[in-house]
Amino acid sequence: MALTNILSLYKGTNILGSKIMGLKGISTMANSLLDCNCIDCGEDANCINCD
Amino acid sequence: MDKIRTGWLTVTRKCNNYCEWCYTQNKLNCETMDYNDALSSVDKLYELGTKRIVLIGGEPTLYNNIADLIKYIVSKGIKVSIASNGRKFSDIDFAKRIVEAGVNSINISLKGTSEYEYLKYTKSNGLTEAIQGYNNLKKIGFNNVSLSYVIVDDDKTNFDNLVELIEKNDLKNIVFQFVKPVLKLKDENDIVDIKKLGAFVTYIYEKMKRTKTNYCLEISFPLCSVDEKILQKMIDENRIITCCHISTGKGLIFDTDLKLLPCNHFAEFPYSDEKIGRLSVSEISDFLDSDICVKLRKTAGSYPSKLCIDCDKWPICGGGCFTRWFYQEPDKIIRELKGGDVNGIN
Repeated sequence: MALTNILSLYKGTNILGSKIMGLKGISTMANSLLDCNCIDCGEDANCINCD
Repeated sequence: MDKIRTGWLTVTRKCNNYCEWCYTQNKLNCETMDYNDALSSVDKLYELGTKRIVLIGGEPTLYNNIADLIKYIVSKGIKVSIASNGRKFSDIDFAKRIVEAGVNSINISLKGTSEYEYLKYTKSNGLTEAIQGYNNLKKIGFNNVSLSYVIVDDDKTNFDNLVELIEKNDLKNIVFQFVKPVLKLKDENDIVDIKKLGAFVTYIYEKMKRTKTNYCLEISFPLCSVDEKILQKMIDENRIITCCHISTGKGLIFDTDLKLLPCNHFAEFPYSDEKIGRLSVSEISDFLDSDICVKLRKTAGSYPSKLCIDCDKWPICGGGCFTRWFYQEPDKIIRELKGGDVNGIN
């Protein structure tokens, strides 16, 4: 089933938000938060889960 | 190429649990990723710049070639993690084999606070095995193991039982994840009461303050549902983690048949019915720039409500899991949340 079908249900705005950044996370858990879906925020990263 | 930071490989849809809230509950079957396909997917993720691969399922520890696959991923200089229910690690020889293969981190998802509850939620007797698995990993010196627990409601007794279980078994490092919608085409999803769950964060904070357990919360709904002072304390303590990579386009999931998913919660809604993961790296890269992928990223990165535009918490909130707004009206809910005594703007 294609993604397009489910996206059509979205009830939010179409106004693009500013870039979302992750928090630093929890230092002692940094590498353990494997399923945290944390933001991989590139050059602005302060989320240590990404690196 | 620096296209994808984190890749997830759905190595099998087999599972030894049948959790009632599972996002793949309609896809639990025996579909398994061919081992050569797994290796080729790793190669492609490597070319796309991936730094970490997470093995998911189903239950990834049921994948026959898991140790060899871990070794292969490590040989490419990519970190590898496993998201597991932990039961297989109750076999200490298996635990040793996986650790020796070079896994970097393991997250064990707890499915209940007692055997009775575990059985009720998963149709399996697995709690003792999961805790034994956690202990075995610690026993063999593997400390990069964490736990996760999905919170589905504001049941204080249940949470108290969970904390008791955590303390009794000396469990460390736990991620509390608030439930996310199971995607369905029809508007028949279980609607959660965001206001109640937001208020429950205060209970969690106060309760956990009295423990020595390191924890964090993945809040899948707007942070304006949480008491502002409690929220600030939790932010200061680095206890809040954001919950979506989709708007950045830096994560990619390979399903067992090499269809590509934007997130493991989209198990039934791949980017395309075509098996894009079988294409060449440059073709995959081009696909990730295609209209449907851009549309998805824009949708995930949009403000759910205009009321979010000026909110100073937006960078860490992002409105929560955007799939919630397939089933609930963000304007109505966020207006109610902000109209109260929390983080109020009107």
